[in-house]
Amino acid sequence: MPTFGAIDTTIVVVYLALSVGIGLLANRFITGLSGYLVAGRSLGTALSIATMTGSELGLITVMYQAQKGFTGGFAALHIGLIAGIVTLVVGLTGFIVVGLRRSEVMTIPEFYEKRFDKQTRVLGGILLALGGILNMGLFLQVGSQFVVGVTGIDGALLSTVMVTLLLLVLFYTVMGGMVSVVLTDYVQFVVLSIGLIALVLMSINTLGFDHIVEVMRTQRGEGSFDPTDEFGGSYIAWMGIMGLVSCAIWPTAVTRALASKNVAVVKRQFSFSAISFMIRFLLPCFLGIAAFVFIVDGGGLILSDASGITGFSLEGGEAQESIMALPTYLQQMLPVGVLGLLTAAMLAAFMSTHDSYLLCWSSVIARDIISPLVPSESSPEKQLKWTRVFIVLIGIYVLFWGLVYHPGQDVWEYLGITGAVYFTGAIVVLTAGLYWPQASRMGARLSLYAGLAAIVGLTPIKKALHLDAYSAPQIGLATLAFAILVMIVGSLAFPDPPSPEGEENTATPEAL
Amino acid sequence: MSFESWVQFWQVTLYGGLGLFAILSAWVIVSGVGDIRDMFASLTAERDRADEDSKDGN
Repeated sequence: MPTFGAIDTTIVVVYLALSVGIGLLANRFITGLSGYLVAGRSLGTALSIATMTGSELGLITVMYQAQKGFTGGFAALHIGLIAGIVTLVVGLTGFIVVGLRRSEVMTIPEFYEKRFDKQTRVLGGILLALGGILNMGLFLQVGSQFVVGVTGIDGALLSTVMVTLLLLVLFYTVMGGMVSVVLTDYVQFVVLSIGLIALVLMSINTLGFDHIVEVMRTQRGEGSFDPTDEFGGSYIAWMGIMGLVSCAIWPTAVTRALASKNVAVVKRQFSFSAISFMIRFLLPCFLGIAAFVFIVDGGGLILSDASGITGFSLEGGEAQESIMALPTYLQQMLPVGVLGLLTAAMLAAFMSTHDSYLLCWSSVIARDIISPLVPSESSPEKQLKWTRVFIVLIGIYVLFWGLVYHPGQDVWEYLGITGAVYFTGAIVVLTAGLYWPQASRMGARLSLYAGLAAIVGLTPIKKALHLDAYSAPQIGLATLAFAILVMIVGSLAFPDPPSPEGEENTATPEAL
Repeated sequence: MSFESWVQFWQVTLYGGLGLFAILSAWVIVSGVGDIRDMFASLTAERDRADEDSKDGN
C-alpha cells in the first residue's frame, strides 16, 4: 500500500512556502482599498476564470461532491450538469452579474444601499456575514480530515493540522488581500486542473468505465443512475437554485464579476466559467463513485442505515464516514510523488477557497456593517484595518466551529442550508432590485428577514422542532417562496417615496 | 429513460465535460500569465500615482 513519503512531504512543503511568498510579494503592490478588495478592477478574462474557478473549486467542494458521488452514485452527476447549464445562461444573458458590475459597487450590500437605503445595506450585510460565516464553519474541519486521510497521520493530530493550515492562510490573506488571492488562485488552477483531469483518467484506466457501471448497478441498482428516482423532484429543483446562487448570488463568485475590467469581460468570464462550474462538481462526484467501486473491489464493506449510505470499512479496517472515501481512495491508489503533487493541489484548493471567503466576509463586515453604522470608521484606511481584523477573527471562529460542531447531515446539505440564510433573501432582493421598478425597501427588508427561516433546515434545529419529515431542500424551497411572497406584498403595500429633486436613484432598473 | 440511456448520457456528459475543461485549462494557463503581467502593470501605475499624489500633498 503506498504511503505518504518524504518526496510527497517535500512537494507539499515547497508549495506551502510558495504561497507564503506570494502573500509577501502581493503586499508590495497594495496601495488602497480598491487594490486590496478587488485588485484595482484589473483582471482580464483568463485570470478572472482562473480565480473564480480557484475560489469555487475548493477542497471542501472536492470532498463534499465526492461524498455525494459515493452515496448517490451516477445520479449525483446531475448536480454538476445543472450548475454548468445555469452558469452558461447567466453568462449569456448577464442575469444579475452585469447589473451589479454596472452599478460600480464593491460588495452586494453596497448595491442594496444604492438601490434601497442604508438600513437595507446593514441588514443585508449582517445576514450575508451570518450565513457566509456559518457556511464556512466546516471548511477547516473537512480540509483537515482530507489531510489526515490522505497522509495517514494519527487522527488525534487533526486539531494541529487545522491550526497550521489556518495560520498559513491568515498570513498571506491579511498581507496581500485580493492580489494574493488572485495569484494563489491561478497557481491552484494550474495544479488542480491538471491533477483532477489526470486523476479521473487514471481512475477510468485502472477501474474501467464499464466495470464501474456494472459494480454500481449490482450494488446500488439501476435507479442510482436516474436523478428523479434517486434524489426526487424537489432536490433537483433545489440544485437549480443552488446553481444560480453559486455563480450569480454567492459573494465570492460575484466579487470576481465586480473585479473584472468591464461588462464584456463579465459575460465572457461567466460563459466560459460554466465549464468550470460543471466540472467542479462533476469530476469529484465521479471520483466518489470510483472510490465506491475501489472499496467494493478490495473486499471492503459499504455501511448504510435507513437514511442511505453512511460510510465504509476497508477489509479488516475500522468503520469510516462517507466523507473519508476520497482521501482513502487516493492514498491507496496513487504512487509516491503523484500523491504529494495531488495533496499539494488539494491544499492549494483548500487555501484559495479559505482566502477568498475570509476576505469576502470580513470586507462585508467592515464596509457594510461597521462603516455605515460608525461613520468615524468609514475611511478607506479604517476599512482596510477592520477587514484585516475580521479576517483573523473569522479564522478563529472557523477553528472553534470546526472543533466543536458535528453536522449530522451530509456536508453539501449543511452548506446549502447555511448559505440559504443569506441567499434565499438575496436572490429575491437582487432580482427584484435589478429588474422590478416597483421593488421597495420594505419589500427588500422583509425578504432578507424571510431568508432567516432557512436555518430550520439544519439537522439539530429540525430535530428540535420535530420537522424531520421535511428535507433540507424542501425547507430551502419553502423559504425562497416565502421571501418572494413578502417582497411582492411588502413592495406593493409600502412603496418607496419618490426621490427628492436632484437625488435620483442611480441603481434602479431604468438607470442600469 | 432506460438504464442504458442513462449510462450513455452520463458517459457523454463526463467525457464531454472533461474534454471541454482540458481545452479551457490550457487556454487559461497560457493567457493567465499575460493577465497577471497586466494586473501588476496596472497596480504599479496606481501605486506610482498614489506616490505622486502624496508628494504633491507634501
